[in-house]
Amino acid sequence: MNGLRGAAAVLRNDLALARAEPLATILAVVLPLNFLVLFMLFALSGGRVPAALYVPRPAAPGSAQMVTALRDALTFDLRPVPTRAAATDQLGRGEAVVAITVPPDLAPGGDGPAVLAFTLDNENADFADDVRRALPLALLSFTAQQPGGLPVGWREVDTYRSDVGFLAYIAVSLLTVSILVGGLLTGGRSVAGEWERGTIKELLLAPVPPWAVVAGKLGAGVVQGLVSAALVLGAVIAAGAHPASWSDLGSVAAVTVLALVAFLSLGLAAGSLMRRVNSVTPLAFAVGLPLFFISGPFGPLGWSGAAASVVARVFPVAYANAALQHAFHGYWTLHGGAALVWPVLAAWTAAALAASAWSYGRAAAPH
Amino acid sequence: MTPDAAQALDVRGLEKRFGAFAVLRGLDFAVGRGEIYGLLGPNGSGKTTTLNLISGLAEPSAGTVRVFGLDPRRQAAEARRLLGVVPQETALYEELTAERNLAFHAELFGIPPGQRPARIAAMLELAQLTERGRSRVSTFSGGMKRRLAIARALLHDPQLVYLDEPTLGVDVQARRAIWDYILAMKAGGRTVLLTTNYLEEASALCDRLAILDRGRLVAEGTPAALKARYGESVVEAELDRDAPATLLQTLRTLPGVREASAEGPRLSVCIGAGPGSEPAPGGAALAPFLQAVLASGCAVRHLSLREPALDEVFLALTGRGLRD
Repeated sequence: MNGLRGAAAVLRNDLALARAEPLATILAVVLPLNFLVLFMLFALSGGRVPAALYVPRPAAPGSAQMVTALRDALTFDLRPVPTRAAATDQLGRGEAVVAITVPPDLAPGGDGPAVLAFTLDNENADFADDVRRALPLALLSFTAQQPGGLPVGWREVDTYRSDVGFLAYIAVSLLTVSILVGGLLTGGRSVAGEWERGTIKELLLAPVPPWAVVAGKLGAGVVQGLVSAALVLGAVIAAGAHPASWSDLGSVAAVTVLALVAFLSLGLAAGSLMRRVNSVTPLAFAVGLPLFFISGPFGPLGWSGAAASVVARVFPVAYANAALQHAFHGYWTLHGGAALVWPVLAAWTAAALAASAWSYGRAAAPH
Repeated sequence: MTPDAAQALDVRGLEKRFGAFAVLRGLDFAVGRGEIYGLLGPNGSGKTTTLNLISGLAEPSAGTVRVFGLDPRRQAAEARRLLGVVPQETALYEELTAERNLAFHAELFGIPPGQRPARIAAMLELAQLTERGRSRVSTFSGGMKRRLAIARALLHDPQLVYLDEPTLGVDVQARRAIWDYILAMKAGGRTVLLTTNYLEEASALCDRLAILDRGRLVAEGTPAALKARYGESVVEAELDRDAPATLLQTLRTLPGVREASAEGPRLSVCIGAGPGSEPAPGGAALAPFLQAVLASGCAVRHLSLREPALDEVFLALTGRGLRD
C-alpha cells in the first residue's frame, strides 16, 4: 500500500510540476509541427524511389534502351533482380516501392504495342505518385528514341485498394516523434530535476519504495505524453490530414502507451544516471532525432538505405513507427508484420522499464 | 506509532570510509528524548555524513545507528516516519505553491486525506505563511523558504527532527523566528538534532553539544560545561601604577591561572581548567586575584571579567586552520 500510495503521490506531484513548467509538453508539440513543415519540404525536393527491375532473358533488343530511359527519368533507384518472383519478393518485404518488368517483346515490328507491367506499393502516395508521373515520361522518352517509333503501354497493379496520402502517412510519424522526444525529455527531466533542485531527499526520506517513485513518474509521463499526442493529432487533422481508418483506435492507444512507457523509461534511466537537466535535454534531442530520421518517418524502412535500415532495426523507434502505421492504415511497413513488431516493442518496453528501475534504484540506494 | 526506546538516537562505533579515506572514525553519542542536541564541527568534519547515516541515506562501514531503537536501513519505512528532515538547501519545489509542497509531503507520508487540509493549514500557520499558501515558493524570501521547509518536516508529526544548518543565509528576524520554532519543538516533546556553524545559536538552543573534528567526536557536554572545560576566562585590571614583577609571579601560582601578563598598569590574567583539573567558573578566581593585587600595594582602578565563548572552545578543539 505504501508503494501504491507513493506512486500516486509522485504522479500527482509530477503533473502539478508539468502544469507549472510545461517545457517537455510544449517541445513534444512544437517539434513535430516543425517537422510537418520540414517533411513537406522533403516531399517537394523528393528522393529516388527504390524500384525492383526485372528484365526477362533473353533480353529484347530494346531492353537496354528501356532501362536507360528509366534511369534517365531521375526518379528511380533501379535494383535489377533475376526473376519476376524476386521483384515481387522485394515489394513484399517493403524494400521496393515498385516492381517493374521490362516487356519481353520490346522490338520493332512486334504484334501491337508492348506493355510494361509494374506493381506499385501505394501505401505512401508521395512515392506512388512519383512512379505514376515518371513512368509515362520514361516510356515517351524511350519511344521517341526508336526509329519509326515503338508503341509501349503500361499496366499498373496496386498493392492496396487506395493510396495513403502523404499527410496521412507522416501524421503517424509526427506522433512517433512526439512520443519519442517527449518521452525522453519528460522522463529524463523529471528525475534529473529532483536531483538538481535537491528535492530527491524528499523522495529518498519518504517511507515509500523506489519503484513507487519510478511508477509515479511514468504515470505522470504517460498522461503528459497522451495529451501531447492528442494535441499533435488534432493539429495534423486541422491541417487536412486524417488517419485512413478510425476503426482501430484501441490499437493506436495501445501502441502509444507502450512506446511512451519505453521512451519515458529510457529517459528516466538517463536522468537517474546524469542527474542534470541540462545534460538530459540535449541528449534527448541528440539521440532521439537521428533515431527518428532513420526509422522510416517518410516511407517504409526498407525503402531507405541499407545501413540506416539495419541500425534502425536495433532500436524501438522503427517498431513503434511501424506499429502506429499499422494501427492507423492497416499495413505493415516492416517485413515480418505483427509477429515481429509487437514482440520487439514489448521486449524493448520491458527492458527499458527494467533499466529505469535499476538506474533509479542504484542512484537512490544507500551509498 | 509510539516509539518506546530509551534513547531517541543511539550511535555506536559509527565509521564511514570511502576507499582509504575515513570520514567518520568510531563515533559514539546518544540523544535523549526531548533533548536539543547540536553537532558542531568545521567543514568536512563529518556532520552531514552523520546525518545521512542516521536517516539511512548512507550505509555505515562499521557501527550502528538506532532511531528510537529502529535500524534506519533495515526498518527504513518505520524509521522515516519518526524522522523530520530540514536539509541545508531547503529542497522545495519552487515552481509549485507552498500548499502543494506540503500536500505532496502529506501524500508521501500517508497522512489520511481527511486530515490533510487541517494539518497543512496548521503548519502554514506555524510557519506564518497562511497568507502565502497559494503563492509559488519561487517568490519567497530565504527565510520564508526555510520556515516552509521546517513546516514540511513537521507535517507528519515526527518524533525526531533534524535540521542541517537551519539558519544559514537568513536574516536576524528570521533566525529568531526559527529559534522559536526549534524551542517550540522541544516544548512539544520532540527531540531535535541540529548542525550549525553559528556557535551563538548552538549555545542558545542546545541542551548538549558534540564537537566533531576529522570524523571523531572530540568533546561533548552542555554548552556551559564545554566552555568551562575548554575555554578561558580573562580577568583584566587597570592598576594605579605599573604592575610589579613580584605580583605577576604571585598571580601565576594561583589555582587555575594559565597566564599572567602586564603592560604598564594594565594587567591580564587567563583562567582555565587546565589539563587534568576540574573546570571552575572564572568568577571563582576573582577573590584570590584581588587579594594578591592588594597585597602587592597596588590599587585597582578598573576591573573586568570576560567569560569564555563557545567560539574559543571550538577553535581550541579544532584548530585555526582553514578547512575546505
